[in-house]
Amino acid sequence: MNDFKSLKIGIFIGEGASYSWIWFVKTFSSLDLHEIYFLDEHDVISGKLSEYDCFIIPGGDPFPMADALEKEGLDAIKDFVSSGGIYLGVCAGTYLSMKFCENAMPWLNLVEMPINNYSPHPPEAIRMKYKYLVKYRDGYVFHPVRNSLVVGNDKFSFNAPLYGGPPMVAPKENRLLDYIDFDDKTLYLIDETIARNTMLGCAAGIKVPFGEGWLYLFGPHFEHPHFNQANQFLYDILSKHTPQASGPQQPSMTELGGSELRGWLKSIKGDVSSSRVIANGMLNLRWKIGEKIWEDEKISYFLDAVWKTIRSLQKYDVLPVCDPTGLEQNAKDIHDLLSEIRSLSKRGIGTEVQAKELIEATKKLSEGLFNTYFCLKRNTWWSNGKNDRRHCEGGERLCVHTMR
Amino acid sequence: MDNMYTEYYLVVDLATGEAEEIELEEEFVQEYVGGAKLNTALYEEHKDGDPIVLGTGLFTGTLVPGSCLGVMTAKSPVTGKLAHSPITWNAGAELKLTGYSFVVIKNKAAEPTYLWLHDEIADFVDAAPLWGKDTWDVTDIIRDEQGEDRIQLLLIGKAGENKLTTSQVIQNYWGDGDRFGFGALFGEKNLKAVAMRGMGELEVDDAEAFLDKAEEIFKAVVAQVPPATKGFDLVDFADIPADLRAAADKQTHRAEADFNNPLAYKVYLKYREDPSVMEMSDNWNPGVLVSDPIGFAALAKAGVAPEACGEVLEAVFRLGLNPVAIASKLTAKDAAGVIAELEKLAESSEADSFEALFSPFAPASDREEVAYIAGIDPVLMGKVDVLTADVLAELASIATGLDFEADAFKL
Repeated sequence: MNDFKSLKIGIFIGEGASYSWIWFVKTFSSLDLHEIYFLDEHDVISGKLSEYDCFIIPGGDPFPMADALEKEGLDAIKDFVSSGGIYLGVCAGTYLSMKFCENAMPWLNLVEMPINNYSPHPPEAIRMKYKYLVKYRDGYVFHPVRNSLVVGNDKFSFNAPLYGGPPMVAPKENRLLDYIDFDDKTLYLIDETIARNTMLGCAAGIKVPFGEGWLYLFGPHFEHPHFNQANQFLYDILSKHTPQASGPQQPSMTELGGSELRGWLKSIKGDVSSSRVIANGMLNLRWKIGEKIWEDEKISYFLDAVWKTIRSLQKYDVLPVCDPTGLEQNAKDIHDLLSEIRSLSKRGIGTEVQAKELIEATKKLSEGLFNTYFCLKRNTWWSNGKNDRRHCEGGERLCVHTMR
Repeated sequence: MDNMYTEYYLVVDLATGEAEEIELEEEFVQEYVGGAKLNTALYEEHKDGDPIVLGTGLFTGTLVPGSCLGVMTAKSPVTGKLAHSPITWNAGAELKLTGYSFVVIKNKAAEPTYLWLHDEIADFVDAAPLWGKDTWDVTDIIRDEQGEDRIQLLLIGKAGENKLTTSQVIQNYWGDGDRFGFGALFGEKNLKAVAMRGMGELEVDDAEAFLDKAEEIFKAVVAQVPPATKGFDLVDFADIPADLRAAADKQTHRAEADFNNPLAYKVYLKYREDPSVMEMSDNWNPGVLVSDPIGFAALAKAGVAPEACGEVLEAVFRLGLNPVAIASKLTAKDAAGVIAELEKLAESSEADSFEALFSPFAPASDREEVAYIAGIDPVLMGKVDVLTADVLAELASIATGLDFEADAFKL
């Protein structure tokens, strides 16, 4: 039997990755996939991809992704796939991988694949103009619709959410799923007839061989945790692959327990809670970072995911944590940055600089906590450099003592 | 407790600055249900610390109509006995969503303090800079300090700081139903405020059945009190004099309702700008919410000019006074004169004693204790007959997966 659940999956969360990578975390966790790791551009550049079976580039902004990866990182990805690795691109990860026009950006360009939403003269937007267009070379990538729509093939169909991914003009042999129809939750950013002509009948998901490896390129976010059938589709794709990679090297983890753990969790939980309060009270703040628009609700989303992870970690008496002091500082930084953003925005002062720092801090904190979470789920953590299987039973609830 | 409540309740010792989480067990809830009844059990357990218990009803913060009610339980300095005061508006629901369905506050802080409850976190915050400030200023300051305008507060003004029996615990900017002088208890404990904000979630055992039943109850409630009826038309029990009503009608901007309450009986009066203007203006404090219609009427009955009663009520709330307790002590009729008197009354005044277990904020009814245990607005409970103990027991069983009988909703 193929133990595909042992596939070593690395998710890119570096520069340019938006919060949608958290959907992969939630969905993989619910599907009992726990060999989940997080990489940034430095990891890719330093050759760490060989430790993984599957490398995912999620949604976000491909421009800073490519800039951060540099030629060295992009070449490393090409080598990884051609040597037998699986590349899974979603939305930005798909754009990053394809050559879809003549004068393409020097990105991955792993496959030549025209898309139907690229034009020097895109249609007029009827709503969400701030999210509709992205300049690319001599034209624009435009986004005809957002939210849920229907994808499928001649065997099945299901709903999945789209937030900017491309309608691909793909050969039949590469198609896994097409855009079949819109549904009652589809939001039209352009005239509906033009949207239908642009999207429907094009490929939503493709599979392309590259050297000894495979590219899976998706427009919609099949990893979104609210779309069970889409998640199952993702699961089925991964189940066809056999684990080959050894997995990443053991990181240095600190074992926290007893009062030290309680104090650490209390500190982080307090700052995250305070941050959630501020973030939820923000009113329609928006930042343009690179080519991507970040809304304040995305920060809330990050924090909610962190919050739920903290609560699940509270069950344990001992936790393996990578850089606990750093994570504690991340939590404090997040609180301070949010306070600053609130204060400045009330005075009408721009907060793009703080927002960028905030996004990075939330990524680091999320990554750290999810690493601990998956480490526990794998039932292994590393002590003295050894792969030491320990069982972590749920212990007594922590009793939080808050001191003045 | 898996359903309808949070997992823990909190015991706060202001003297030591410690807050302890204790598991809220199913057996405990099955015996005492919630609200005033469970508060009383907690009060008795922690009596040595002269506690104030802030609690919620089983249904507080849920889809059941009128499920806004939280309950404050303590030994009243006015009656000398254990008493229960309502926490209405949004603070009752917010308390549950902070992660603590019940909070026992014991002993006395060495220095002025406010308790900041948020997402299973209890912070003790230095309130020395807030001591002496009026309730409106403090609400604004704490909301700004902690970064959210929807933070709900229970706090005291000068009257509570001076430990007067004429004081009340104010909710954000508005008086609630504290007739028992609990503001004095806060002052005695050096507790300026309890601030609350939570993004908690509540679980329900059989969510679909609960939703169906709640909807059925809602339709029955609305059939008895049509939504078109609002404002002062709903509070005949307040016995508002005709001239006050006429003056208030000219100042009425809108009617507001508590959390999930079909009765919008709280009227917002504007006396600093044209009440017909709906857009937000630069005038941050254009008027007052008549959250206490009986208190509002008491001012007019004491001789305060009807058109001045709104502004006077504002001053009462700012100082953290109980309007019913001080009304009989007023001699001036005009706003400026009355407000000057209020300043003095906030320094020194004493409330007349009376006998009551539940606050006379709402009319007494035979289902008052049901309201205070279930977490339902007592005003709504008094106006409709569908929210019986039998109906609520059935709903409680659906929601929790435990067995409840009607008797559970009696003290």
